[in-house]
Amino acid sequence: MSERIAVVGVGQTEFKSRWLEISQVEMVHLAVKRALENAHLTIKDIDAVFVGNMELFEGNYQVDMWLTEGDGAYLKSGMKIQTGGSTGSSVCTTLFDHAATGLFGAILGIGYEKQDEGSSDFGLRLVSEDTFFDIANGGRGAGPAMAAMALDMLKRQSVTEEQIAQLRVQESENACRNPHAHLRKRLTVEEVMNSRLLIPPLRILHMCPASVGACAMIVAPEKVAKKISPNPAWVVDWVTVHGGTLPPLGHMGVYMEETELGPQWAFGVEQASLKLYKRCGITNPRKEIDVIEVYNMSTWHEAEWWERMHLCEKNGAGKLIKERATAMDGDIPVNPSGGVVSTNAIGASAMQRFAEAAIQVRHEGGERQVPNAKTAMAVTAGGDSYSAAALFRKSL
Amino acid sequence: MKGKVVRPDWVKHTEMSLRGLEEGERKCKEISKPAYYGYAEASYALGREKFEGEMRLYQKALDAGYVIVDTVVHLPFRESAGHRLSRFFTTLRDETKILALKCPSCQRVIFPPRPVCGFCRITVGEKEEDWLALSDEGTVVSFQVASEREVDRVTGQLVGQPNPCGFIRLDGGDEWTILVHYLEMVDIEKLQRGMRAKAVWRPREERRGRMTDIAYFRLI
Repeated sequence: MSERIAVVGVGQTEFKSRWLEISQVEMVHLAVKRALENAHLTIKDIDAVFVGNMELFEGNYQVDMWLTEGDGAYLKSGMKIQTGGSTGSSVCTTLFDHAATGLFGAILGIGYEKQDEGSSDFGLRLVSEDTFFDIANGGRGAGPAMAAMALDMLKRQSVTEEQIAQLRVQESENACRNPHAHLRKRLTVEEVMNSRLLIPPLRILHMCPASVGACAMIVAPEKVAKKISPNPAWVVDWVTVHGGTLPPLGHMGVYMEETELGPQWAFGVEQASLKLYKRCGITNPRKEIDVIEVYNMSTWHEAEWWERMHLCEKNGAGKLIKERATAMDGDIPVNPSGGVVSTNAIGASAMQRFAEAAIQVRHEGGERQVPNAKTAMAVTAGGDSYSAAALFRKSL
Repeated sequence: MKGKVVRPDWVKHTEMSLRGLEEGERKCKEISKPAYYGYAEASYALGREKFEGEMRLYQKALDAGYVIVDTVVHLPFRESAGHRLSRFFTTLRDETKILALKCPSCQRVIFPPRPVCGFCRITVGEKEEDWLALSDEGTVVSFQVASEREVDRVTGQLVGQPNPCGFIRLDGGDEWTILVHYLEMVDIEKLQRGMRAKAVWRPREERRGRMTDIAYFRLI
């Protein structure tokens, strides 16, 4: 029998595009300090430290060694984790797994990225097997698979380009309420629809930014959580699935809609959500969950993920946008934080989904708080094809 | 204390390549129609603009007294292709044929040739009958274009290459047999999924058993 566990502290830095005056260690330290303050703990109370960041995106390797002063890992247990875009959620599920053993008191996880230190392209160049096949450097990014997915959503009339722009506006409204969001400018439908075309129909304002920032989370088993926290976010259940059953060309993003697994990452998102619903006895997620945080690498993905998470029927995403069902005042708010399209410090992004879901059930969201949120879900995905999902509740 | 930004030599090289002297640009001219080339040039302008913005931010931080250290890593590797891909690449070189594997259990085509069928989890490629040749013609299912050339914000070097790139589903396989390669491109506004493309092979003496043995895919 595993221990019941809870998130007892979350700390985030500000997120921005350039932060030249701070070092990686200082930035991580800031997030850790805020998480400890939030949990009313000191670093002495932490038994293990887990670090997640995209290896080589800053041109560094073994950052966990360098970070020791910033994250307080000296003489503690822990490890370094990297699973692509889902790095942050892999750190979270590792935290949950460790906390559930009951072998630890409070444990700390960190996800961060400092993308102003180099070209993330540099790290992506070293993805396995690309050296043999990706000579045109086209498959490395997720662009082509995203474009194919978007075209397919238009073709099957799930959404229109205008609806996607409306959704982007909704995301920007949410980001304006989140002091930690990177892009905090209120957009208009015209601005989004007239922004630069990348690969038709993807436009630059549909896509996630390259951000700098860190997120930290503290998790504890029941006996510790109840002692230190008046409002722990109980982690009811969590799952990870690897959605890469048969990648035709490694990670190269060629899951197309017409293949049986659907577009890239969709299979993982769907399987992780369904598995979580089944294990938690959820039959109608739209009714039974109060707020959702999802890893939306583009606005198109957010709409596709709604269908994959069974918040609506297939091709029903456009209707949700029209009804503003996923807005802050809708019946199933998604990404009150502004999501990944507003903030994307890669190693932190997936952790922020989990952290923001926890913040919602702890009622610490400030302006971005969904009133009376009792149950929150977080779902993530990433280039390595791992998808993680977790369910948080206000009370056990 | 004020620092001074000294542009390293490679920035000059970048500016040379921005004028189109590098091999990538030559290739872009060779395989693209002028309509696309104009688009590629616009992408350079964006890349250059972005880099200059980076340099201004860098200078600002230096002027404020912060120290920022340039680190450039050169990472040469030598990677083994393995049994199946070695056969794949030598056949590409010697016979201009694109090989794939067929799973004897589910009949899905495995491309590029991998040791295990991802669905059935059984070993493939050990028997002769597992192998088949795909056509060098196919359908474009997606594409990548350099709408903005990425410029390494540290060195000012251009990253990647300017050529359009296509995801080509080769005939003779199934939905999974997709190859990513350089694509002849006309005008991105006219790009469509479903266009047909055929491989243009390099002459025998230039083929080395690499994906570059195919020069690019021409639209047909």
